[in-house]
Amino acid sequence: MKADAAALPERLRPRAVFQGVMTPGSLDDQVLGHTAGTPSPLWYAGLAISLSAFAVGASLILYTFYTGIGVWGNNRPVFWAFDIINFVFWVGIGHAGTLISAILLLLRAPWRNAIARFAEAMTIFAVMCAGIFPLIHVGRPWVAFWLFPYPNQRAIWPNFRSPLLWDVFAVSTYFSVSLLFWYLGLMPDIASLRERATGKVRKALYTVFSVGWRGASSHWRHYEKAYLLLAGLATGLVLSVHSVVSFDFAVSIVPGWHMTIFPPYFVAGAIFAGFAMVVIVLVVVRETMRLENLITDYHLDAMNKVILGMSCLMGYAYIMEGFTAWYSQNAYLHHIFVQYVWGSYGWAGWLTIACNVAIPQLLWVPRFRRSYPAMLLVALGVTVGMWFERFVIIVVSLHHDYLPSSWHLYKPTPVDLGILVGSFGLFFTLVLLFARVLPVIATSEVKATLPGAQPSHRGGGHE
Amino acid sequence: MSERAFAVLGLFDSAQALVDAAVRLAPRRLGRLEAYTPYPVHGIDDVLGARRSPLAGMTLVAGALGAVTAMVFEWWTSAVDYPVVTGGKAPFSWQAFVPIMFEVTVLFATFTAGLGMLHLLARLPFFGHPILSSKAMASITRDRFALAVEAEAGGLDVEAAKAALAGAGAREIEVLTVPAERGPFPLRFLSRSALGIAAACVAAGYATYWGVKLIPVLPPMVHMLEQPRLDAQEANAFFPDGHGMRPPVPGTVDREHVPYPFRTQEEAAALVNPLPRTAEVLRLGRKAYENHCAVCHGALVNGVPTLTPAYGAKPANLQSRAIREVADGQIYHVIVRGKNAMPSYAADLTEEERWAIVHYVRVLERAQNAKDEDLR
Amino acid sequence: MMRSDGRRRLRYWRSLAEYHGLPPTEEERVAEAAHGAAGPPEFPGDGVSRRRFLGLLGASAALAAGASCSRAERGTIVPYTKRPPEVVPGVANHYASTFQEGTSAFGVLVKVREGRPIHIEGNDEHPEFAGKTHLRAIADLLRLYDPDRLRRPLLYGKPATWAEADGRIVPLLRAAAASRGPVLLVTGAVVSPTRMAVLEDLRRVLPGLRHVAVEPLAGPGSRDAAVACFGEALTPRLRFDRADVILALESDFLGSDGQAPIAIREFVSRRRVEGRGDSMSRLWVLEAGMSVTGTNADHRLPVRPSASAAVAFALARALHEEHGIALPAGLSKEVLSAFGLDAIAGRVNAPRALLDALAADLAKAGRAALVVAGPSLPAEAHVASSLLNVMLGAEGHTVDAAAACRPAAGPATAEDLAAALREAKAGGVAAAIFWGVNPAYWLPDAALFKSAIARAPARIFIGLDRDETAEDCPIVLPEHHWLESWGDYETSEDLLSLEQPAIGPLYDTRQGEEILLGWAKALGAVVPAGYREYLKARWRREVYSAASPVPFESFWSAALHDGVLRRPAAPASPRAIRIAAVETAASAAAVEHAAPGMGLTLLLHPAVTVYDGRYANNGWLQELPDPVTTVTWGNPARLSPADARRLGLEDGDVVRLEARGRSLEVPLLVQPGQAEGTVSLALGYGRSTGSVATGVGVDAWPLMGTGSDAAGSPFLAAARLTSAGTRAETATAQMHRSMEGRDIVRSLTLARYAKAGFEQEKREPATLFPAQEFPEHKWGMAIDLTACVGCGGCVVACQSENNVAVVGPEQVRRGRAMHWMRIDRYFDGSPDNPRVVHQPMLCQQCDSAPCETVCPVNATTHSPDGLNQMAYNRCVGTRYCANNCPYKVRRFNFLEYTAAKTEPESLVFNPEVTVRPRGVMEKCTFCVQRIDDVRQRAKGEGRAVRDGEIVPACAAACPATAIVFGDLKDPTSEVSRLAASDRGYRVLEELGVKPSVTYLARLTNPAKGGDGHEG
Repeated sequence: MKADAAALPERLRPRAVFQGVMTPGSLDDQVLGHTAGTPSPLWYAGLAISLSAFAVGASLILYTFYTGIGVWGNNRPVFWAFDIINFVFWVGIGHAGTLISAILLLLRAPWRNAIARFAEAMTIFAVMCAGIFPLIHVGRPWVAFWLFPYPNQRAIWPNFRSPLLWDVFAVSTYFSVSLLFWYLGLMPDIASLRERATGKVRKALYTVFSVGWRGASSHWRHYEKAYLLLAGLATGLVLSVHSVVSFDFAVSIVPGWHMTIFPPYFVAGAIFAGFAMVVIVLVVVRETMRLENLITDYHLDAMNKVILGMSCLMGYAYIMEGFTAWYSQNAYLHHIFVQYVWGSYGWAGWLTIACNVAIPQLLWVPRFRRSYPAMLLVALGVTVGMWFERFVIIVVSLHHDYLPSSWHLYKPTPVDLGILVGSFGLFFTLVLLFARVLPVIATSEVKATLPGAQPSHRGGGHE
Repeated sequence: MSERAFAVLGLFDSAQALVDAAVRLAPRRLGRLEAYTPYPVHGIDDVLGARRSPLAGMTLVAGALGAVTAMVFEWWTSAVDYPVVTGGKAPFSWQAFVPIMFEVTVLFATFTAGLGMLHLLARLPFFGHPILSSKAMASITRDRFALAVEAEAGGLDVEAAKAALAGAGAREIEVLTVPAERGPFPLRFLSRSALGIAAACVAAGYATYWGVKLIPVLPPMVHMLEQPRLDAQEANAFFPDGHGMRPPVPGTVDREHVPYPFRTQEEAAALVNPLPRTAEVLRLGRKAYENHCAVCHGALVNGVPTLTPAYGAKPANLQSRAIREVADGQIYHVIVRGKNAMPSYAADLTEEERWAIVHYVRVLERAQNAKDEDLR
Repeated sequence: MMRSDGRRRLRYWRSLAEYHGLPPTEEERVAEAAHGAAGPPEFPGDGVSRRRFLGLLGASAALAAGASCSRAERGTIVPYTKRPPEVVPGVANHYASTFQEGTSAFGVLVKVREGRPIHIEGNDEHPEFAGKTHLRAIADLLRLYDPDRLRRPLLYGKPATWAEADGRIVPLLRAAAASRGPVLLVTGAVVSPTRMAVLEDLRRVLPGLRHVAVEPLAGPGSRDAAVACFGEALTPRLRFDRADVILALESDFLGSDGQAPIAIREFVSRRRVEGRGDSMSRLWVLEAGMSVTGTNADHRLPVRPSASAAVAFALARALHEEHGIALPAGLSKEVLSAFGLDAIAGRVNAPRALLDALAADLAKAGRAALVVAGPSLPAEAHVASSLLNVMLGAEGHTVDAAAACRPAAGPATAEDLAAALREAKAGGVAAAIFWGVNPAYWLPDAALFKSAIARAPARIFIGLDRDETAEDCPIVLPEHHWLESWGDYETSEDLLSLEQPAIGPLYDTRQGEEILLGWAKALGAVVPAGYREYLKARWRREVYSAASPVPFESFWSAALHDGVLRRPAAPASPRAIRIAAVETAASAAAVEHAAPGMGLTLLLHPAVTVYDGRYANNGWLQELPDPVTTVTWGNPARLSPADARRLGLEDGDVVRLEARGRSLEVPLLVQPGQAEGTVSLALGYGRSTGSVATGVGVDAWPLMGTGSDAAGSPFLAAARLTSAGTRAETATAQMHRSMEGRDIVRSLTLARYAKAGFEQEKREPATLFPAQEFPEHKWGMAIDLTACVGCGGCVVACQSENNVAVVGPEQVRRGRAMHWMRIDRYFDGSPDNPRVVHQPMLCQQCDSAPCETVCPVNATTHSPDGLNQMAYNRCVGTRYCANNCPYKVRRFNFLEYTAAKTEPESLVFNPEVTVRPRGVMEKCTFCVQRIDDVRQRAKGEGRAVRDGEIVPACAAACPATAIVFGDLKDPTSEVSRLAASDRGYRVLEELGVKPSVTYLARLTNPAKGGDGHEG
């Protein structure tokens, strides 16, 4: 049962997570209003850019499909490169969304509501981008479906001992759960959109997707419970998914991959990268859609604090890895860690450390936590840094393994880069479309937290 | 007023007002009370006396089910149905099966929690509820709160309900009626699009069928059915005669086989049968003879064919004195080179088999023309 | 109307015995067993046998076929209309034949499927090759199916018939015969008596015939020295198996040399060590460029080729003065006075102690010593080595002149040909005929060649493909490949080997001899039409002794069956050396040919792979990594690290190399162990014809000289090296040279081994899983690193047996070579004179294979006989297995390398092995097709598989027999014995992957005094 907010001492009162006067009505008008009317030229420009980037990537994927992945830089011994780097990178990006919407919900962090919605959306889009790569990276994509355990004439099943198969299950589960979670959150808002919508088609679509939601309190009761349960499950899931992804490496015997620290280290890194991406998109959306009153400096501040914390965690992880390598006295592992910083790809190692550990330390300064240039610098830095962290882990570890006779350098081709760009194109295309047709802020959730939104006492009706 | 009333709806401006009204109406038993709000209003459930949501229990059960399903499936596929050894690990190495078990657990649980809630508990999707077509709906999803007195089995006293709601301070009051014959908008929409959907399904079906039939063999999707290598018995256009299999060059001698030097039966007379006349050899001889020779020369080597009585050429009667007296080598020679209508059997009989046949023939000849001392 | 009781009962039977209800005989049961593909037994406690697994794979293929029946092309069945007795479809035949290269003739066994050669191995009946052969012989199979081969005669570049060709040639020859005008006939060295007889027949009707049997790589040095010392130009047979101490002066007898397989077999026979008591021969190598022989040396000294003669004389003097070995009668010690060990040691900056040790070693060995001088050395060096051999008494023991190769004609040197051409230029020729030689490519003075024959009325080329010489000849006559030809070869008096076709001619070609016979006939000689009859007739006349009880036909077919005929050999007898020769040589050696103002000495040498360039169009050989540099598809100039530092050059720099007034641009390779002041460059590249050969590497032939010029040998020249400013990445198979201190190749000295044995701690980690059970067999391999010389024969054999793709330089450069079997090469110690080790690396067939666990689709699994097997058409291509393979022996088809091949190229594919398309992972399978073949035969014969009966392609090809394959479950098998040896270890066993391949630690045998490369 809810205590009376006014009765609490100042520092314990829930902070106002928005600025200015705000009523449920004005909120609807501001947020849902975006879906009506014509978007700004800025929006069209953005869409044009990201769409063309996506087109480039798609055509290069088609090219790869017809000629074979020999058009990439992969070689022996570096059998995995951009393909798997991008996969891990995008899956990681996704994690922030689930974290914000699920874990922060459980932690009752008041500032989550305003940003949870498109954080979740980002999760879904990021996982979609990630999902492309395992599919196209195989030598014969047209038989990739053999990875699924379906009954067949060969009477042969997939190998459940293979981490790659764990991936298949983890990522597909992750995607479907995130989608469900996101959709449930959207339902009441779509209902409101249904009521506001004017166009016939729009109304029809909103009607269908709102599945006839009518805000009955008997529904809200189950709805809130379901939402809580999903949050709890998603939390466990989000931790498991990147652990499983890290198993691809940790379970193998490649020096530099075979590390027990990987699961927590990968999860931390994922959240880290995800938050950075959220900040980037957050800033853009906030500016272009004029949501300063909803997405306040307080939100940005909170986000950046998380980034700062995560960056320290990463720094710790790097140190621990190095220590393990040194302490294990394993010649092969030792050699690889020297390669990370002093080898042919040493620059990548230093870049990683600089972007992920050094630069984010700026955020200790409160002013930087609220200034666009600073936080964008950090966020972009982290995005680059985390991509290169995966580069270091995957490519650098592979290019010097057990037998020096098979050591070989790796050089990406334009096709590799094109496909990477394409994945970003797809991601931002989806983000823009989402911002256009769906509420970027969970209005029903925010409404519930406005002052006076809830009855202050149980209404003493016993006189 | 021919339509039957479904509910009386009172609109309030704040959650507080809603709760107060609910508290006021609850004891009066005018009908079933239900609140419609833009967001969950805390405390209203207690006032309306709703039960706790059973969702948690359902989810727990589903999760457990998922765990068991996954582990049993993995065990059955890799340890029972088709066990293969990989990396020297046991067919049922459960440690490696845990991650997938976990994922499936979560999958089952979430879908129960999410869709179970929607469908089993909230009975959605449902587009036919009267309130969806009410004036109030727009404001309910926006910022106002409705308290509805809904009809129960005994029907509904509309006037009393109106009065009560008005007394509770409702700003507006609306009477909802059971929908008339023409359903609300969404249903019409769906019925109209049903045809299109059906058509789409059929199209998709065809597309899939032909897709599955054709796409697998379109380049570059190789399945190794066709390999550029030249297999035995295969035709090959590279060679003028179209035969993939080439004849050996005349006069060459390979390691597996020594050429038969003699041209005439007389030359071959010198040959002596290298095989001993043992049961082993005779069994081999009988098998070879019955497979290759008996059809013409007869099971008793008497030239009475077993299968080809109508056959034009007259097979030699090996019982005849003439043949009984020729040297073993000459019979061997005929097997190798053939004679008259009889083709060469060199390709079909190994040297050992040929000599074994010679023995076998000799034995049958002897058996048919036994001398007295044989009987003794 | 048939009544139910009177119904006739129909039934089928397989034999009357069964019809009469007799029990089936043993043969019947065996036969049935043989019919079903004999599969290994089932896993214990497991429902599925490999047999069913294969069945299911078949089913999957059938499914795919069903899905694709609308498209997939169905092949039609075409059986033999009349099946030849010796051919059973699906079963291979083997034909003994002979392959000639220069003055060597390799006895080979050709594996033929349905009358189509698919693989070549050594002739096991041949006493000298004993089932082994040269990698170039194995690879030359590819040339049979080379699309570039000539398919019909060409007249002035236009296709023509043989009739037209003869119609044009014969009148010209008639004219030449009438006018007795000179007719120039250029062929390779003739070691075939019958071919010689044909030439004689031709000469009889064509008096003006001037025959030059030229081998471009024939060095004048050895010949001149032989003539000078012993009065006869013959190359004695060297008996490495009799030698305790071998001194190689610039000689690569284990590598590029034509007799390599014999040398390797005999050399290794004295290096193989079974137990701690055994002895080993010792190999000293003095050479400029690092060669295969050099990498196997116990002591290697980088020495300028120009100085090696002096070193040899110094050794002779030391032997005389310090070890009291008599000089040849009549040779005064003053002749050697110029050669003090100190002075020489200073000149070649070698430690005096080492040279002393060498001298002592030679003295100790006495007649069991052997000094070999390489063909590239000037005459005086050969004289000096002969002197040493004579002094030590090796002459007649390890140097066997009795069994020498006496070619019927030649080998003439390029210089001799040049002389003949000059003559022709002056006097004019009626006709110039080039048979199987390519002087337009390798003659240093190409202009001379063109101008000499320019005015010849008839310029006729007889050969396999349209090479540089064919371009200059208006009349081009296509010849049979040797696998389509008849012939005989006499490498030494006691050995006569036969050549017989393994397939009928693929194209409208004729055997070279037949072409000549045709002309002889046209000019009125009476000779049999076909060469086969000619050959047979000559053998009946010359070889077959009428006295023998065996009829000739049987004698003949027996000879063809064996492929070789042994005859009593004359006993080895020492030859006396002529003093005058030694004196002149000594005076020549006293002053080293300095390189005025040039700074460097250029050393030209044949490539181990493409030899003199005749194999340059062979993809297998082009892609075979050079054993020393691991460079493929090219010939970088090799320079010592010191010189590179001095000139400020590094790997991949393109340099301008000037010598003999000519210059060429070539990429540089810094070669550890290269003698300072020398640069070596391989011949045989830079061809301008051939779809594969064109533009690969640079043509070094123009830098060749004549024997008489300053350097004293055509292979040597003063050279200058300057940077060309550009860079060119050579396609190197192995990027990293050092072992990084990891004990991948374990080695130790014989002395230490004899004293203390070889203590190795077992590094097998503990495992959670119960040991895997192998019900019947457990296949395994043992590789003796002491025996392996790193020649690369196994690599080529594997490529031929397993349809391994050739990917080309670009893909090799990107690290995508496909060899299942590779030879790792590591340098150790100082870059100026490092120790080198070779290690054959193939799939280790681990019991706890890391690759298997991570495959998501079960495409790679473990067989009950211990094989790590790949189901190619189950492979999706995630490449996870390759990442997880610590040996990196898995190969991935990044692009469509093979599956798009068409005839005639595709005819070389082994029908027993899947041709892998792109997107599929592949790797060594221990030649599972050979294993199953033997197993089926054994089962059919109702017996167990014998030890040593299964021989994978690599093991079959290895001239050193360093690779042994067998059943590890059978404790008596050879492989089990070796696996249990105290020198045995498993690479990376500390990972717990349980490899099935055992390596035997490498033993070296350095002298006490010398700084032996300690293991």
